[in-house]
Amino acid sequence: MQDQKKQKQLLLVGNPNVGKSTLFNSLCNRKQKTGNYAGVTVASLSGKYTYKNEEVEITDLPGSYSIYPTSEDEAIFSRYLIQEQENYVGVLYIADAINMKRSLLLFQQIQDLGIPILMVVNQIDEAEKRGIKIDTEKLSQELNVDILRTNAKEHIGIEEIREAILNNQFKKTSQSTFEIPIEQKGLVYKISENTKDKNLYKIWTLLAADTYLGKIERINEIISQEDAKCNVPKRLQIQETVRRYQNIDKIISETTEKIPQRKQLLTEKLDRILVHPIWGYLIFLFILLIIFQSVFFLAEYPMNWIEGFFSWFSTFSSEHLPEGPINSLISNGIVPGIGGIVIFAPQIGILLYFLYLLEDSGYMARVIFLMDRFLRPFGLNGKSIVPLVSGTACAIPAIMSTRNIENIKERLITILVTPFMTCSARLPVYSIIIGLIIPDESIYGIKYRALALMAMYLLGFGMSLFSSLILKYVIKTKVKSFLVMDLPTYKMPLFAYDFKLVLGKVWEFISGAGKVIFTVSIILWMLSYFGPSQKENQSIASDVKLEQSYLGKIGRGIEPAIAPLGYDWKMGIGILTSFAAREVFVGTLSTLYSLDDEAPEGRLIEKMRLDVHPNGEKVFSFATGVSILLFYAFAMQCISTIAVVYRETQSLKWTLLQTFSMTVLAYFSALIIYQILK
Amino acid sequence: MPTKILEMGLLPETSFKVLYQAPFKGPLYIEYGSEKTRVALREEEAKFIKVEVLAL
Repeated sequence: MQDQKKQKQLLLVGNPNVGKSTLFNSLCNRKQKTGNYAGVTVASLSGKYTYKNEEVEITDLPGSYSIYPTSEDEAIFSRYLIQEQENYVGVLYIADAINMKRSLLLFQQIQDLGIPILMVVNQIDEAEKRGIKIDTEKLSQELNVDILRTNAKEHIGIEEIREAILNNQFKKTSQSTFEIPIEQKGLVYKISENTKDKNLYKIWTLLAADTYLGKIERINEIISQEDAKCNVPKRLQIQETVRRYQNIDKIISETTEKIPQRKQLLTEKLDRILVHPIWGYLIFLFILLIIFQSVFFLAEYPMNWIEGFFSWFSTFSSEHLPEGPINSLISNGIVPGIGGIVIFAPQIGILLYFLYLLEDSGYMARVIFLMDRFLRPFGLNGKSIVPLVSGTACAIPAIMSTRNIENIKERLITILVTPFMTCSARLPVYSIIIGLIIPDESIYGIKYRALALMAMYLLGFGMSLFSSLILKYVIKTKVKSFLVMDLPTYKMPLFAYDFKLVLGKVWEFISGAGKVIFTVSIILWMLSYFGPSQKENQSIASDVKLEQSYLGKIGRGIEPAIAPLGYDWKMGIGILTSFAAREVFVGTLSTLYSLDDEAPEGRLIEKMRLDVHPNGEKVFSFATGVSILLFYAFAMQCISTIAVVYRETQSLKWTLLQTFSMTVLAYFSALIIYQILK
Repeated sequence: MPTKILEMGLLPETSFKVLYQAPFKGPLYIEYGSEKTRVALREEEAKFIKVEVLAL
C-alpha cells in the first residue's frame, strides 16, 4: 500500500570529487530526476529508493569545501542546507578517505549548525593502497558521529548505509567544535538574546558570510555601525578556517596512520603528459577532434534511420488517414515538424556523453588549467572553457554550467558569449545550406563541405572571443578574478551512469523543443490551409494555394525587410518561426515545401535546390546561402536560451541587450555579405 | 586573498611543491600536505603565500 510507506528526505553532501555521484547512483535505484529548470532554489539531482518499506528521497547537493560560498554553485548548496532544514531528516556526509583532513572542515561546520548528520567514508581501499590507515571507530568517538565505510564504485557498504538511514543514525551535537573568538563573543550573545536562537555558531556564520548567504534582516538592526566596522567577514572566515584546521590536524594525527609510499600513482604519471606545455595542448586538440568527428560521422547512421522512419511515417499517414484537412495537418505539418527535431538527438547525445565522461574522469580540471592563461586576456576564466565547449552541444546546459565560475564579471561574460558557439540546433540549418551552396568535391581528401562547416564553428568561437573582449571593457567590477581549483585524481568515468544522464537530457531536449515545434507546425498549417477568400460572400477560404494563404500573405508582408538579405518569403517564414528555436527553420521549410503543391517532389534538399524565382534564378544562390549561414551564426533565436540567461543573470537588462545585439549583428552582417556577394 | 585557498587545506606551515606551470606564466600546479592534494592557482594568488625553501 502506497500510504503505509514511510517517507524520508535527506541530503547528500561532501567536497567536490569525493565520489558523491557514484554513491548517489548506487543508493538510488529508481526515479532519478535531474534538476528542475524552472525551480529557482533547487538545481540539483534527486533520486529515490525503497528499503524495508521505507521510501527515501535523496537530494544530491553540489560539492563544496565549506559553508561559505565562493560561487553560485556553492551558494545554492549553502542556502539549501540552511534554509530547507525542516524539509529533511539529516545529512549523509561523504568524506574522502584519501583527503580526510579537507573533508572534516565542512563536516564540522555542518555539525556545528546543529544539523543531524551521518558520515560515510568513501574510497577506504584506495586510501589503503596509498598507505593511509584510518581508525574509523576512534574517529567516530572523536567526532561524535556514526561512521560507515564504503567503496561506492564496487557497491560495497551500500546495504549498511540503507540500514543506518532506516535506523535514523543521524546524530545531532549540541556542543560546538568551534569556539567563537573573544572579540565577537559579546556581539554573538547579544544577537542570540534578541533572536532567541541558541545556536551560537549559526549566528557567527551570519556575521562571517559576506555576500551570498543572505543575512537575516533583523541582524542589521542589532549590529550597530561600530560593531559592523570591526567585523570584516572575510577575516572571520579565515580565522575560523585556521582554527578549525588546527583542531582537525589533532584529530587526524590521533586516528590516522600513514606509511610513506614510493610507488608512483597513476595521476602523477598521466599529468606528466596531460598538462605538458606541448603534449597537453595537442592531446586536448586531439580529443576535441575525436569528439567532433564522432558527432558528425557516428551520428550519421542513427540520423539516417530517424529520417527514414519519419518520411515513411509521413507517407503512411497520408495514405491511410481519410483525405481532408486532418490528413494534411498530420502528414504535412506535425510529422515532418517533429521529425526535424528528433533527428538531432544523436548528435546532442554523443556530444553530451563525451563531455560528461571528460568531466567525470577529472580531465576537465586539466583543461581549465591549460586554458586559463589564454582566456584571461578576453575577460574570461579558465573555467569558461567548459561552457564554451558545452555550448557546441546546447547553450542551455552550457549556461547553467557557468555557476562554478566565482567571479561575477567573468561569469556574466561567459553567459553572454556562449550562445555564439555553434550549438547543435544550428547544425541542421548549416548542413542543409552548406549542402545547397558548396559542391560535393574535395581537396587532398578533405571535403569542401567539411571545411565550410569547420569554418562556421571557428566563426562562432571567434565571435565569442571577440565579444568577450568588448564586454571586458563594458562591464565594470571591483571584485578580483581568481583561480583556485582542485585537480582531482583521475578516475574511471561512470559510463553507464553518464549514459543514463545523457538519455535524460536528450529526452528533455526532444520533449521541450517538440512541444514548440508541435505548436508551430499546427499554427503554420492553419495559416497555410486557410486564406482570405476571393468570393464576396465568404471571408475565409480553406484549402487555398500556399501563395494565397494567410501564411503566404504574411511572408509577402515581411519580404521588404528580408529581400535585401537575399531571402524569399518562405525563408522569411522560416526565420520568423526560428525565433522560437533555430532548428524550427528546417522543419518550417519542410512543412512549407510539402504544403506547396507546385513545389517539386522529392527530399527537402532537392526541392530547395530546384526551387526557382519567377525569373528563373535559383532561390538558394550562393550569396543567399552565405547570408543565411551568417544570420544563423549570430542571431539569438532560441527562447529557451533567453529564458535560461534571464534566470542565471537575474537581469532583464543583460538578457535583452544580448538578444537585441546578437540579432542586430546577425541582420547587418547578413545584409552586408549578401550585398557584396550578389 | 581568496579564503578558498585556506579552505582547501593550504594553511600556514604546510609544505608544498610547484609541479608544473602552464605556458606564458599560466596557472601553477602545486601539490601540498601529506595528502598530496593537488590544486591549480594563478601566480597572483600564489603571491599571497609566504614561502620558505625547504629543499631544492
